[in-house]
Amino acid sequence: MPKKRLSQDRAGSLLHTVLSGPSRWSHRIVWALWWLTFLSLVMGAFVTTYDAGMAIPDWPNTFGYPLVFYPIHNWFKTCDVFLAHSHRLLADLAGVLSICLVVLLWKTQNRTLRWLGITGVVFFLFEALLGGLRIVVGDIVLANIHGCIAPLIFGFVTILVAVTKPWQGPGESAEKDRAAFAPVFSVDVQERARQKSASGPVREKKGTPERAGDRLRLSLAMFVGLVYLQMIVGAQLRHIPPTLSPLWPYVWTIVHLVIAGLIGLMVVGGWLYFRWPAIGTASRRWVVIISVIYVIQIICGLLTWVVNYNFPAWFLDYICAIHYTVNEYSALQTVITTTNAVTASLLFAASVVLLIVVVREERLREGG
Amino acid sequence: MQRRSRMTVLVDGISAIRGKTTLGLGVSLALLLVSLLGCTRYRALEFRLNTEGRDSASISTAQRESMEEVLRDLFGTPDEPLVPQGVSLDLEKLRRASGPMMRDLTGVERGLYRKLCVVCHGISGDGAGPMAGLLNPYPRDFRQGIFKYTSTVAGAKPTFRDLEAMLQRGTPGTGMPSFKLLPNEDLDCLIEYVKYLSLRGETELGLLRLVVDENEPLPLDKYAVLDDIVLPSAEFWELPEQDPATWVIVPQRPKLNKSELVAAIARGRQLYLQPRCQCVTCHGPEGRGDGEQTDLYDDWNKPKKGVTDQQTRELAQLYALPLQRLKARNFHHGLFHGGDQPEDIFLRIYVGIKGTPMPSAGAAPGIPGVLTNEEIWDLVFYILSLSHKLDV
Repeated sequence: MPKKRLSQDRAGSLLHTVLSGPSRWSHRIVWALWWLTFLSLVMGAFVTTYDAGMAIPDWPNTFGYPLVFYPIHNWFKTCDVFLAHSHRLLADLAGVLSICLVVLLWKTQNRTLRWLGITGVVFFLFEALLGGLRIVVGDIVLANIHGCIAPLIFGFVTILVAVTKPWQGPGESAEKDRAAFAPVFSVDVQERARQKSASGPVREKKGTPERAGDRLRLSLAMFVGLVYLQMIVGAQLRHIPPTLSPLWPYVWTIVHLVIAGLIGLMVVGGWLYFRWPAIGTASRRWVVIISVIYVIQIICGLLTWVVNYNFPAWFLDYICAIHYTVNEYSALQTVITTTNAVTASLLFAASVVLLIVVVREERLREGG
Repeated sequence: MQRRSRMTVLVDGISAIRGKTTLGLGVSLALLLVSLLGCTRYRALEFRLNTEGRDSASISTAQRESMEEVLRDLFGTPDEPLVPQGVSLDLEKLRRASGPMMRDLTGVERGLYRKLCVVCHGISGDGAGPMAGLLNPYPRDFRQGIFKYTSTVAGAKPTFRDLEAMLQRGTPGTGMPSFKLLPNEDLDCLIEYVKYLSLRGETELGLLRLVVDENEPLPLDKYAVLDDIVLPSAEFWELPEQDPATWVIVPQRPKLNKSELVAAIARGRQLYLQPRCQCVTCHGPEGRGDGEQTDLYDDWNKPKKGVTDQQTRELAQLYALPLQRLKARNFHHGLFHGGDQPEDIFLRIYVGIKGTPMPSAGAAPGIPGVLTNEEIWDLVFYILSLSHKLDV
């Protein structure tokens, strides 16, 4: 018996249920979760910069105390313990909040949101266990993986923010929003597949809006992937095993620079493309945000090298002999190195948002 | 019918199997965690035998195992260091500096060397840590017991204060950081560990000469190695601390008024140009580092240089890092790696920069100096005048 196809009205009422009423609270909780995840990520980046990953030797306890009962006056005895303990507390709070979110999302009628919430809990739990394993086992490879997963979770929470954004109320924009999201939340995949096979294959002409839309989404997806790849390469340079051959950091550094250049080219390409009048205001805004983050990232990346390893010899000999001595664990070194890591995650999240915004704007245009 | 975009198909597909996806994701992540637990556990590190410059095939397995066993018995491992009998190293400081970086349950921090130094200097202090290939100059190889910037006469070991000054000051213009923000106790532990690595490295080189070059019969006698190689090296390390009057140079800066300073600078200029000082050969007539002698290498890189380019390429196979050329200092930049105070420049000229072509001009036990102290101060003032760093 074929699945009953949902009518447009039913899809619209589903959307109404998703985007109104209880989900307003969902959206607030998701925003709180986003900030907690971000702060936890920032503290985690500080932990790596300050080599504080093993500052607390036990897990899940903290020097024998249950996590939340670790005496406050001990927090500030040393910087590395403060960073590590803060990271754990924020991450735990984020995990608890993700569980609360699941409860709220479960109240909605939308199964997609429910499963997104559960996926979030699974992600947070996995990351917490990974972080704990890193302490228990003491292997820097686990720290490396832990650091690579964190931006994925941050990007995922950013997606949650986007999909739980409340609908403002009935009206023309509501109709367009309904049309924009109906395909995303539709349950009748089999029915539409049946309709497509019945109508036969459709060859699109080159240069049609559909093909252009496909290319844009593909380019944005590639951009997101490239940014994440850059973060993985950066993580290799921040979590270096002591017996690693000198060849590998050399290779990673070259790859890091090349990918930075490629990302820059794509950002420039984004500026050229998104000047078209047909492109929505939201997309353009996110292109500007991504560009600003990218510029900050480039500056921080270059400065990160200087504050950790000084200016290159060729620069000092032939361009400018700057008198600088690297100062280990100085505020300058710590902040710049950490900012470089954190802005990478922001760039990743912003590129994910741009992808979502572009998809949404396309749906609105198609619906209109 | 409107063709559905690939993205819509993807999203619809995900929506259709979202429940199974989440379940599958959870199971996959759980399996990944279990596999990581099995694959990534802490493995105790070992020192690697220093076979740089030698064809590994020329060392038999028996020779290698015998040398490694003796070194392990005498010096322990990177996680569990030992102090050879009769050597005055503080084992507790070595324990704090060695091993994986962590705090124990009492809050005491350990693994300082691995936290602060290993990324550049390597586990065995070979100067070929993971980041070494990206740095110019390379990080110091401690294993030969040679340290560039010291206050001791030519050929002597550095004092505790020399090593402490290096950690406090860092090396401007290079990747060697200043650790002045660290507690003094931590710096003490690092200095002790550097001496330990240096002593171990010198013992290792002595063993290689004995076993591989001189075909010493196996098995090796640990106590003979201790008496013939370790203890003499350790005593040589102690000499500057026990007899500073003979081995340590303490610069005494003269107090000059302006006219005397101008005269000293003029004398320094004359000395600089004299052939007996050999300054112009490398640093050039104006002190811009553009002397005619450009093929300069330090002691760590000299063995990598072949007579021909082909030979150099073949030799490169025997070393962890490629050949790196030295560049004579351009005094006009004012970027002095060993410090830019007049006393620092005095020491660089008096004792030279050990391990590099920069010679010693001052006297040493049994060796008359090329220049007197007054002449060296004249040179100091002239050099600092070029870099506009004079503060008399």
